[in-house]
Formats: sequence, C-alpha cells, structure tokens
Amino acid sequence: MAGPGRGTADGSPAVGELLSPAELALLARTRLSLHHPRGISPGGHLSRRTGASLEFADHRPYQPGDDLRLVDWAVYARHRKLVTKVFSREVEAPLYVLLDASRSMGIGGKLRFSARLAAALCFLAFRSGDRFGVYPFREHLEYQGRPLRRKTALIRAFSQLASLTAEGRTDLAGSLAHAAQTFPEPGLCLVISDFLALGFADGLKALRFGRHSVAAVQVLAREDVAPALTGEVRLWDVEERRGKPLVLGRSAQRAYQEALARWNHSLAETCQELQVTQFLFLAEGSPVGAALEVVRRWQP
Amino acid sequence: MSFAQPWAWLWLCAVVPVIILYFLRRKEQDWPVSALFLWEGIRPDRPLFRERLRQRLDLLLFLQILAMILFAFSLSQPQASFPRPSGATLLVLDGSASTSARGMSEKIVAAARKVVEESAGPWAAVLWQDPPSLLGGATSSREEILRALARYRPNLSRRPELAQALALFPEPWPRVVVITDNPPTVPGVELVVIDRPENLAITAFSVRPTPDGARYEAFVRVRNDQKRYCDAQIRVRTEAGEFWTSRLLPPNEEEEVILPLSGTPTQAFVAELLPSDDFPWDNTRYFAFSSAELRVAWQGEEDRYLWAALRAAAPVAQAEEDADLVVAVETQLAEEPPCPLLLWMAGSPLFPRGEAQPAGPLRAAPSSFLAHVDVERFRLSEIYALEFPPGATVLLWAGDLPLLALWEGPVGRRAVFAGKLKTSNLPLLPDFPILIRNILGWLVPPEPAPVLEVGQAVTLPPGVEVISEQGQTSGLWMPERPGIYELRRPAGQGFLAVNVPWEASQPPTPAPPSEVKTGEAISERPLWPWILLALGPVLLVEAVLHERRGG
Repeated sequence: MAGPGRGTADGSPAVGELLSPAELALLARTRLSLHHPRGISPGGHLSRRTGASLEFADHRPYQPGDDLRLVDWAVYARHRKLVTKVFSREVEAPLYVLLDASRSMGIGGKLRFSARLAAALCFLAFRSGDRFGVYPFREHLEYQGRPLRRKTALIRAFSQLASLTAEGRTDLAGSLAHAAQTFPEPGLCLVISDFLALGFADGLKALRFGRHSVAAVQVLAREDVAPALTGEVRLWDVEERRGKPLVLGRSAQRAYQEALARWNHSLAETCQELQVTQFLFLAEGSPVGAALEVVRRWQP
Repeated sequence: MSFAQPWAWLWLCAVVPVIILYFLRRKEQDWPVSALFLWEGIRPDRPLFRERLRQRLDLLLFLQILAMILFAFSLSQPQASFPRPSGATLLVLDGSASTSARGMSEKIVAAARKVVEESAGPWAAVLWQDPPSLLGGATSSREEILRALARYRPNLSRRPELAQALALFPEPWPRVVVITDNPPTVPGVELVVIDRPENLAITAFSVRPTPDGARYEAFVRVRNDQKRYCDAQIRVRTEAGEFWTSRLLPPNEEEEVILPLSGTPTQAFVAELLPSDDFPWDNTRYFAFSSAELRVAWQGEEDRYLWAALRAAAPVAQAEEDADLVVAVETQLAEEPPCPLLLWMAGSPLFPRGEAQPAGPLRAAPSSFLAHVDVERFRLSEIYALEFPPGATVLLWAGDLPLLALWEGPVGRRAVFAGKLKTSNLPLLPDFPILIRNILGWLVPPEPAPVLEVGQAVTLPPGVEVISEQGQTSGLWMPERPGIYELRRPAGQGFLAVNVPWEASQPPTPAPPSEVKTGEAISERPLWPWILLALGPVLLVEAVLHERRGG
C-alpha cells in the first residue's frame, strides 16, 4: 500500500473496481489541483496553515474598541478618516462531491461514469492533501459526515462509490438545499447529475447562497441524447413510474432532441446566472479525462 | 382436390380475421427514459407500414395461419395422383420350402402388398408351391386381395414349374409378378426378388456300408452361405450312438465330410448341423436304407432267363415261406397260393393249363404294361391253351389264344404267360426284362424309395403302413414334415427318410434382367389423413411457444 506521496492510493477492491491502476497512475502524475496557485512561488499551492499568513482584505470605518494597531494611518494622513484594516485569513476549502444516484442515473451507465468521475476527483483531492467527501443524493441527501483528508476517507469514498446503485427518485432542489444547510463550512461543491429533473435552479441557488463554489457536472447517456429506437414504443419514466405510448419516428426524435437542447440551454443560463461552472459529459466517455477537464476548467 | 367444399372456404376465410387481429393489436416496446417530461407534447409519427409489419411478424401468427390453412386444406378433401401400373396383375407368391425361413413370409407378403398398392388392379394371387393353389381369385377390390394375401402360408415342399401355377387361370394375365427368393428364368414375368437370410445347410447326406461290411460311412456335404467363417459341428445319430466332427467352413463354400460310423448295423440315420439358423429344416437331414427285398417262392422248373429278369426288376430272394410272390414255371399247381402269382407256362386251379398248340400271329392290346416293349420283334412257335376266369385282362394274343393276361381276384393278383419260351426269342430280347419289370410292378407294387422329399406322394404296397403324426397311413401317403418315419409291413419294420428339397439349400440363381414393360394408370388417394397428421405437430409447437411466452 502506498501513501499519497508515492502516487497511489489503496489496494482495496473498491479502488480496482472504479479506477484501473493505469488510470490511477495517470491521475497521480498530474500536477493539477482544485486550488490553483496565486502566489509567487512557482508551482506551489496556497498555504493551508491557519494563522501563519494574513492577507489584507479591505478597510472598514473605525469603531471604538478596534485595535489601534489595525488603524491605517496612511489613509488617515491622506483622507483624515479613521479606517481599520481588515485582514482575511486564507483557509482551505473542502471538496463536496454531490452525486445523483437516482434511478434515472442507471440508464446508459450514467451512474457508473459518475462514480468513476467522483472517484478520480476524490483521488486528486487526496493527492493534493485536500479534504473531501462524497454525498450521494436521491430524494434526500445522504450526509456521510465531515469531509476528511486522510487515506481512510479515500477508502471510504471509494467503497461508497463502488456500492452505489441507481434507485429512488431525484429531489434535486431539496437535496442541494439540504446540503447547503448541512455542510459545516463553505467549500467546493461538485454536483454530478443528469440534471433531467425539475428544481435544479433552486438547488444550485441554495448552494450558492451557502457561499459554496459550485460546479454542475451534467452526465448524459447516449440514449438520452439520441434515442435510437423507432416504431411503437411505450416510454417509461424510471423515476416517476409512469408511461407514455408514442410512435417514434424521425420527426419525434428530432422534437425530443430539440426539447433536450432547450432544457440544457436553461441549465446553462442558470449556471451562468449563478456563476456556476457547467460541464457536460457523455457516459460513454472517459471519466478520468472528464475529471482532468473539471480540474482544468473549474476556477473556484 | 376440390375447393368446392363450403366448409373449407369458410375455414380459410377465418384466416383473415386472425391476421387483422394481429395487425390491430398494439405491439409496443418498453423504452425506459430518464425524463418523461421532455417527451411531453411531442406528436407521434405515423408509423411506416413496413415497420408495423415487421413488428407484427410473429412465429405464433405463422403457426396459427399454417394450422388454419392445413385444416382448410384437409376439409377440401384433396386427392393425390399417383401413376400406377395399369392392367390386371397376377401375383405369384413363392411358397416353396426355402420361403419357410424365419421372416421370409412377412417379406413376401409385404412385397405383394406393395405391388397391390402401386398397381391399379384387378388382381389375383397364386401360391406357388406343390401343389399350386389359389390365394385369391380375380378381383378389383384392393381390400379383398389384401385379405387373400393374408392367407399366404409356405410349406416345405419342392417348387413345381411356374407354368403349373399359371395354369390355374385359363386366360393369360397381361401382367404377372412373381415374388420369390429364387427367381425363375421365365420370360415375360416381372420378378420381385426377396433376399434370403444367411443359411448354413446340409446339402447332401448319404450312408454306405464299408466294403468289408463291418461298419458304415456317412457322407455329409455342408454349405456355408454366410458372409463369415463358420465353425460348424456335424453330428450323425444312429441307433448305435452319436458321431461328431467339426469343420471351419469358409463363406459361400461347400465342404464334404466323410464320417466313419461304428456300431451295430442300423437302417435310419440323422445328420445334424450346428449352429442352427433361420432356415433350420436343412440343418437336419435324414437317410434310411431300403429293407424291401422281394421274397419269391419258386415252383416248377428252373428258368435262368426269368430269374435274371426278376433280379433286374427288383431285389429278389428265394424263400420257402412267407413269400411275397409265387413264381410257377412249366408246372401245374395243385392249389392257389394266397399271394401274388406269376404263372410262367404253368397252370393253377383257377387257370388250368391245356396242351401246347402252334402259336398264331402276335397282337397286342393297348396297355401301359407293354410300355417300351416292341411286340413285333417277338417270335413264338407254340403256346399253351389256358382257361381264364372271368375278369381277366388279355394283353397279348397269339392268334386266337391269349398269350399274356392279368387277373385280380380275392386270392390276389395273377399274371399268366402261356407261350412256350423254348420256342421263342423272347428271353434274348432286351424287351424281356422290361416286360417282366412291368408285370412285377403290378403283381407286387414296389415299396417307395427309402429317401423322400416333403410333398412327394408315394403309393404304399398293400399291407404296408407308415406311422406318422396323423397315425397309421396306408395306400397313398404324402409326407408334410421332414423326419424318419416307421414303415410297417408283413415282412418286418422299415424306415422312410423325408427331407426338405435339396434345392432349398442351394444359393438362389441370379435374377435375369427384366424387360417387361407395363402400362401406367393414374390413381388418386385421399391426402386429408396425412394433412391432419401434419397438423398435430404444428399445434403442439404453437401451444409450447405460447406457453413459453407466458400464456
């Protein structure tokens, strides 16, 4: 068993089920991290030692009782106003992976792809020494405790992801709102879902109001994007348990694709409005590639 | 076939609703989707006919349509036309000994049935055996001729000429089909050759005494008509015991075996060949010595010509008592003997002899007793005048005097020759022993040959009886089974050996190429039973398929 410093995670079966040794080696070699460097030290990460570095954040009017050492005398000399310097202490933000495990994710291998994507991100977070946690949700959020950075947390996350099954309905708004209320501190919220459920805007909004940095990863199956079936079919909503007979031809397929495009467009608009980074992946693609894409493009 | 049957049309029309029901039935495929709300408001496409057809093409539909069509087809009472040989057909079924092998009867009857099925009729059937018999007279009823064929029974006798069997019908038949295991070389007949089973047989069996008379030698010829070597055991049984030997017989070859037999002299012998096979009657052969010796009581003068002629005609021996025949030469008997009597220039109380007189010209009455006898070569100078009782048959006349006459009365048969032999050339002619044999054969009928065949009718001499399964038989006797039969006669016990014909053990002759051309006629047979038979599996498959799909 190798520690994070040596580039591998754990030899437990759950790891092997989700990510192959070659994929783990690829992830271990990358130097990408969700916390991008802002300092002058090349290639370094932000320091996460609390109290070791204070960074000026803003001024505020002086109030009686303020430490006189924090009064900015230069401003007073220039503007004859007493202002107090406010420092913000940079603290580490944990990674919350919110994973949709409803029945609709079972179509076309979406859940499998999402679990592997989440595993890759967890592994990257573990390699970077960040705290992370996986939180599946269906009708409710399954809160698994605070995010941790230890190796046991990685093993637990992998085991949890490997045992996930697609069942139940999705309450995207309620689950994300619950997450916003439950998570102990603001962090990086990565929501992985097909987002083919109503209420995603309310959920994302709740996360944003909780001061989380949010990314919406939409995973769709080939069947969702371009259904290949023609003829007389009975469409069956796997979550709602209701059906609809339809004669499916080219025009009906085209109409569905247009409806899906409109739906995704509304999701994109919402994400843009809420400053949520949006990703769209097909379930038949590479989850490791998707993870690297998320890390590269997401600017929390 | 005729589709003018309304029920057939009605049933066939029922196929249409079945197809329509299949087309009206919705055939939807379940398609799970992630979000049904995305499909709301989408107008359904008009399905292509080809697509609908493809979805409704179902094996169950095919099976149901097939079943209905088959049933409608059977209701239409279809007929199948078959070309068959036309014209009247005479079936000649070989029923000789070789067809008595196991399984042969069934094959012959099956072949005859096949001929009947494939021909248009009328038919007749003849059983070709000794004697030939009619199985079924001319009939146009197929059922009747098939019933007649069921009466086929082979026997163990020899097969007569085919013409004898065909002679049962005065008019010739345009088509004669001979079903046999040994095809005859008769032109103008169709041959159906039935293969014989492999056979192991004794083809010849005889016993002879050794020159010193101390013992016997059995001569056995065995034949292996099998396709493999056979380790055969040969056993000869006599009253004195059993004698064994064995031979390794090559396939399709004969081998002769001489087996010395020791012990007391005996008259009946049985040769057996092991192992047995499907034609067991030639695995056992029988042989018997003739014990018939004609005991002759000689009275009067000696006549060496007459004695030589008698010896040439039959095994004779002189005896004083219990004679089978009394021969009186140149004498006058005082009393009539109670047995057959040959009066040779002699007289008896019934036939008083007169004086010798000059003989007139010879003339003969037509008679079988003078067969192969040239009377015109006879020369005779003197003849005794004899008186004959009523009922005598004169065969030869010398002028007005009878020269040779036969008479049969309560005391026995009498043959009288009145010519004075010393004044004749008769003893020097070859006709003389022939004449004596003919007369002797009537006076004392000979016993049958000691070795007979099944079906060979023999005439037993007076006072001789055969002990068979049916009891004691005298007069005419025809053996029906092979075996050793006891012969009872006044002079003592004898034996008759009866075998199956030797031909039955010989390999059949190859069939000559048939050049018989027969005309053809079209006959029709109903097909609906076969169609209904085919309907069963179709319905069974349909039911199983329906059950497997969950009813």
